[in-house]
Amino acid sequence: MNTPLKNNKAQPRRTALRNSPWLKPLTLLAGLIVLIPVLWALFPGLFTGQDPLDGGSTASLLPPDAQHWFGTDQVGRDVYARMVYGAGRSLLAAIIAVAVGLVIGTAIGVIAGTQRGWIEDVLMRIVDVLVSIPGILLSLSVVIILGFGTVNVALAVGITAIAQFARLARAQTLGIVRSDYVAAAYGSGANHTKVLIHHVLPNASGPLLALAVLQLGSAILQISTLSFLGYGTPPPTPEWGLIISEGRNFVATAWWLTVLPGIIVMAVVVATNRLGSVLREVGE
Amino acid sequence: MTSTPKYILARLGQAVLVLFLAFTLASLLLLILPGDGVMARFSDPALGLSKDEIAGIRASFGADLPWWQQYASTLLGFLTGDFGFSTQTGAAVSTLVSAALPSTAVLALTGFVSALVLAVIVTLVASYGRFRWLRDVADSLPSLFISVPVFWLGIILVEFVSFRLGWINVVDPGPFESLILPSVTIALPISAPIAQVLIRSVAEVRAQPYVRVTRAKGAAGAWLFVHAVLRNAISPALTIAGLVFGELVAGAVVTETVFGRNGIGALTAQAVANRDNPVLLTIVVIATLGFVIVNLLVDLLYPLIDPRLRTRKAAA
Repeated sequence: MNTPLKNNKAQPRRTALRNSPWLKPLTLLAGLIVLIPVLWALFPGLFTGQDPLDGGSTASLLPPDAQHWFGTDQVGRDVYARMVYGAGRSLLAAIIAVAVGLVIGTAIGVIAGTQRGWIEDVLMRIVDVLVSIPGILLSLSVVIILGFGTVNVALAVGITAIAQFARLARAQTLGIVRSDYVAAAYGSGANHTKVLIHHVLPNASGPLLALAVLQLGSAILQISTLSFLGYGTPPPTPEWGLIISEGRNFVATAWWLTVLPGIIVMAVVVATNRLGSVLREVGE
Repeated sequence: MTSTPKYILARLGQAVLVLFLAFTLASLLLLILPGDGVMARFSDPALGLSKDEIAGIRASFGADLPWWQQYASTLLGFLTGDFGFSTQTGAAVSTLVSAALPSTAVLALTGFVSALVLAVIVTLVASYGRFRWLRDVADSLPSLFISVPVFWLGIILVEFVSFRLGWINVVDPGPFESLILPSVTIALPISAPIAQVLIRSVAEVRAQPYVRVTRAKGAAGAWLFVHAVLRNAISPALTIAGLVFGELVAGAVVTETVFGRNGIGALTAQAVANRDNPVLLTIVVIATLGFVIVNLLVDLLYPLIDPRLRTRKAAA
């Protein structure tokens, strides 16, 4: 987000605005698509008056109409309301997963990049191991140990993201540590910690944050997959993967229960990826 | 070229080290650390096992040994093809895995080939499409494909292609017919990164002077694409082989569950549902072996496919 502001100073304001990749129509649309489920997660009551857990006396398996946008499920619950109330859990899980990858991965990468020697060798071999175990099996291994549930699934997916962050953070750190301004900082009496906080982390943060946003989309997908397989929260709590999995049993008679939630998940992932690539482009 | 055997040995050593470390991590995590946790199911009073019987089961799984002995015997077992026993069924894990492997191998292969075909088609349309809008649409397909929930795609394909349109019989299909939809399901997300790399490298290759020269010499159409462009665009695509392998494993777990196929993926899902750690451990180690071999082959074959790398290797 910093770069467009800097551009404003360098060029006439209008050109900078017109050229900003943030203002392309597709990027704006992506921002809007991401904003909606975020608002769902924060204020579900504003978006639906229906109860996500209790269908009451509503007929089951109703097709979409003005009152039930996505139709109703096998016990008459409004599926749109379940998606709205499920957004919080599904998005929070994705954020936890990415945060685990970002924090642990960055720590490994920065330590490896600044300490060098045998510490770097050990850390990067651990990263090699994390890369070489196929992601889904690594996360299932964590799930089998920790048990089922949304938070455990989020941690499991987060562990598969560590390696990418660690490799990027190390590469960034190596570049920064070699630069003249770090030499100057050491020359004027800064110690390791000061250099780390004032130079390495701020300069490495741009690319790492872009990767974090890109990982968010893939985390949403992986978490919904594990929740579809039944390793997340048990029903009736709404969670995106679980809603699709429940709709699946009625796909022959009520296809919308599966199709519409799937399209929502897909749209959010496409939009998040788009924002992530713009963020990376802007950084470069 | 004198350094080549040294390079191969070093690369081989690195592969063995990573595999060994992965085995150590997975066995500590899944077998040694939970230790009696794996055995806890047998002390369930509902099973009505006596203390001696439980002790016997513990001994047969090696859970009564100190951790380093468990680790050593597990390692020795894996080296000799003895993967222990399923805590759920008591069957030898090697039997379960070898029964499940062929079906998954066929699915992974057909899925991979479908992904390649799909990726090449998308690349062709994105690079050579007749209209600007057609090229733009094809160009944006990979980012759409990569965002499709695989399990959702599988459900949708079965419902619409099989039941509504009746194109493919899923109730009593032949061996080939039963592979079509699972392969397409696996292929779609895998084709995305391949197509992305291909589109980018085709664009780069087409801008190279030698392509213009070949065209000036009279080459055109498919011949030009296959001989001058695709050949040179393939080597960047090889770099994502590891990524593709991981996606194939994930795809197998999901599609085998959705389509009710037997195989390693279904075995994995069952193992997690039943807390069957020895089975999951074996699958993790075998899949990691697969990943390590694929990456080793790519690294070793790379210089053969791309002559430009041979001189660089020799110089290094």
